[in-house]
Amino acid sequence: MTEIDATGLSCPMPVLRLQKVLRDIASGGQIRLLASDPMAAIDVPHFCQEHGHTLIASAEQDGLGDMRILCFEIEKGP
Amino acid sequence: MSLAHPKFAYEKGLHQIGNGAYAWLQPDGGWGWSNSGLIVDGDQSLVVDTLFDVPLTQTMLAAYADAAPAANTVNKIINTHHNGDHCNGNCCCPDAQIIAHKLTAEHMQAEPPSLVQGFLDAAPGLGDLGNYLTSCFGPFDFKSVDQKLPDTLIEEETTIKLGDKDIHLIPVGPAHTPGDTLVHVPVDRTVYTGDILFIGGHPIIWDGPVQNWIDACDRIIAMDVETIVPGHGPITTKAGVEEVRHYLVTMRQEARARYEAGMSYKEAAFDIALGVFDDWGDRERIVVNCATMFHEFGAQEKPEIAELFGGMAEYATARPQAKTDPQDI
Repeated sequence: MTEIDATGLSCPMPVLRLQKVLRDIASGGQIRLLASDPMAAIDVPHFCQEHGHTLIASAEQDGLGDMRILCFEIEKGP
Repeated sequence: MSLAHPKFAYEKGLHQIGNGAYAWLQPDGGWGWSNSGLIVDGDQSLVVDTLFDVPLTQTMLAAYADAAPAANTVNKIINTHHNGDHCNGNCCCPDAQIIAHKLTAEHMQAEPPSLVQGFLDAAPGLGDLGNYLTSCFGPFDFKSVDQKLPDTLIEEETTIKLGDKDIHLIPVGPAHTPGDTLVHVPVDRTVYTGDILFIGGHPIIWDGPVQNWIDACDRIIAMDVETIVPGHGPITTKAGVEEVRHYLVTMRQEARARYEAGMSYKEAAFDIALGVFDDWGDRERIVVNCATMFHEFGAQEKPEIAELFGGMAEYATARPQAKTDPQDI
């Protein structure tokens, strides 16, 4: 699974990174996206719905210090 | 100047228009507080738009059934567009035929109730944005919504029959949303406009081009109608439509001047003096309106949703607005 580490980046950068990687993979391909900007919890699901991709899973985990990491798994749509 | 129709108070609940036409209003008409319509003829009934959640829709349907026995079983629903506050309650009418524009159906799938619930779930960690999302969507119950999509799709002007009544479905989008559709009932001299009309509140231009929306206003103004039921706000007259048209023309002009001066969409939103529209509700929507219009003027990208809601939260925090008394609209 391709992984994108967008921790430390502010929105909308995580979604823009995701969009760029999605262009280069085949339909059905899966990506794991890590982000630390809490706004990604809004942008990533909305982006996936709007563009026909499937958000397979989303979870939150501890990062460095107080940082919380949002972890999304996305499957590219048709 | 009041924009409410003089025959109808702006009060929550059922309003009888006459000849088997009704409206259900939800003051103050802000985020999620949408209107609906009921049309009956003989033993047939048709609902124009359901509400944002199941309890609200069930209360409305019970009132519809009390007012008109034909509404005990709703035969048809028309969704004027895809936003959840106009279709989430479809699941309360399991046997109804659901009619909508093809683009409305497509975007409904892309904007399920779970998406907005996800925004609310994330809200506690989002500071001012989270507080704003909660103030907009917190009053509603999305968890019990079982999204029911349209089963009958239109792509052009269509006339359907309800008993002996002709119901004209008139697509006018993309404007507020891609699939915006007016529901005109000539024999009742009534039109249900969905969110082509926000009365007493700022329209929100999610899609545009704005000209389509202005043309839609002109289309309504040219109709032989007496009663105009907006998507939000009080029942109105053509004077209300003229005011929405005035808003769109004025804001496009104001936004264009700032685009050409090199401002960002957000700078433009904060810079525009709202003038006669300043006391309309939800004025922070000027942020989204500027973003959409700048994109229309040639700006490369439309911002992502978190940036748009973040911008509105910032505007609403910087310029707090007292809730409008519905009787003042």
